[in-house]
Amino acid sequence: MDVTFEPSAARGAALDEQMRLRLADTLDYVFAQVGDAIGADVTAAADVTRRIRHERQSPHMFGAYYEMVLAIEEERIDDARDLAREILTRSSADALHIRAIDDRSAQEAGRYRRMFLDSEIVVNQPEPALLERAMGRIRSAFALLDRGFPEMAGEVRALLSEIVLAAGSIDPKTMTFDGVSAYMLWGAVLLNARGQTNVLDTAQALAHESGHNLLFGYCNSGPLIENDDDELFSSPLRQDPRPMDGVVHATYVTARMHQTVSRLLEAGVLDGEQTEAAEKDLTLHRRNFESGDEVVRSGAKLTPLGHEIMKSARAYIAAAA
Amino acid sequence: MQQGISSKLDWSRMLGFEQVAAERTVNAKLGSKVGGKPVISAKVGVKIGTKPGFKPTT
Repeated sequence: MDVTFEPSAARGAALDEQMRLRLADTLDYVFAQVGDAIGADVTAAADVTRRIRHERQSPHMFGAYYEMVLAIEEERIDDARDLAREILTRSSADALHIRAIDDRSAQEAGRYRRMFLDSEIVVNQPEPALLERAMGRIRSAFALLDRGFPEMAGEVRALLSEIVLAAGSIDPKTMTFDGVSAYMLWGAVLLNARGQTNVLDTAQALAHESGHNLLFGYCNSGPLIENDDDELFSSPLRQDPRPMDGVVHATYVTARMHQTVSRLLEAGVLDGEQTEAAEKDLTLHRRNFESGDEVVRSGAKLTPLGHEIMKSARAYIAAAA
Repeated sequence: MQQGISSKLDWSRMLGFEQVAAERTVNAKLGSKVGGKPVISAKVGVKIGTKPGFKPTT
């Protein structure tokens, strides 16, 4: 597998295809085993898995699959039938969509809230003006990446099929978020419309969150680490202790942000204010990477895949000016 | 005792559950095999939120 640190649209598309093929194989198996019990018509089942193999899919195709098998596991047959019906009738996705959390069916909005974040974290529909500003920043961030780091822009577009915008809490006493990715929502990221305030930060957020999806795609071949989930470690990017998997993710995507800022600087596409911010960000990202990598080196039980992935990030940081 | 439909599935063959079978997770802990029956130990999602003032999040 290509785990080079250099992004590419081809790699993103290959990982997306790999994930879809795995989903299609799994659905063929599930429908063959329990299709009668959950009302899955044989012809419709064959049609949907053919489309999954050949066409881009919504994150909800993956989300509905996980919810369906969780319902089967708990013998909630009516729920499983409803979810099977959704899977069998869901259309394939087309281009990358940027939409607010509630600008969709109540079913999909509810699934995003359930799967992205804990219920105690506020995830509101952004007000129209806030939403418009956030969407504008995302469009400008893609344009900036297209000019200065087109390989990253291409990989982000290949990995993501939906950028979901929501408004987090502004109460300083409550937990909020800047960005969220979820393994079970392949191709989706949730961004806080209040989380980034300028185009450079938004470009970094795209590199960051798509980096989580990149690692999820790699994990189709197996896990990155063998640490127990109950083992908690200091993370470079969060106040709360995290499982090692989270630390590896955080450390890796920090290097990816460093790479994005560095390439944009080298390409000469940043204005004076952005250049000043970028230089500070490079220092911050390097420090965060080194802090995270120290935790990984001392505590991680990396698998061969995890080792290769961290090796690529370390090599990038060591070579970066 | 009547077996439910979940008993017809080999969870280790399914997307997302290969990590579970090895008692590992990929940010989302789906569950683990205990005595041949899958136990879903958590709901879904990666918790990548942060407190205000922390930039960026993971």
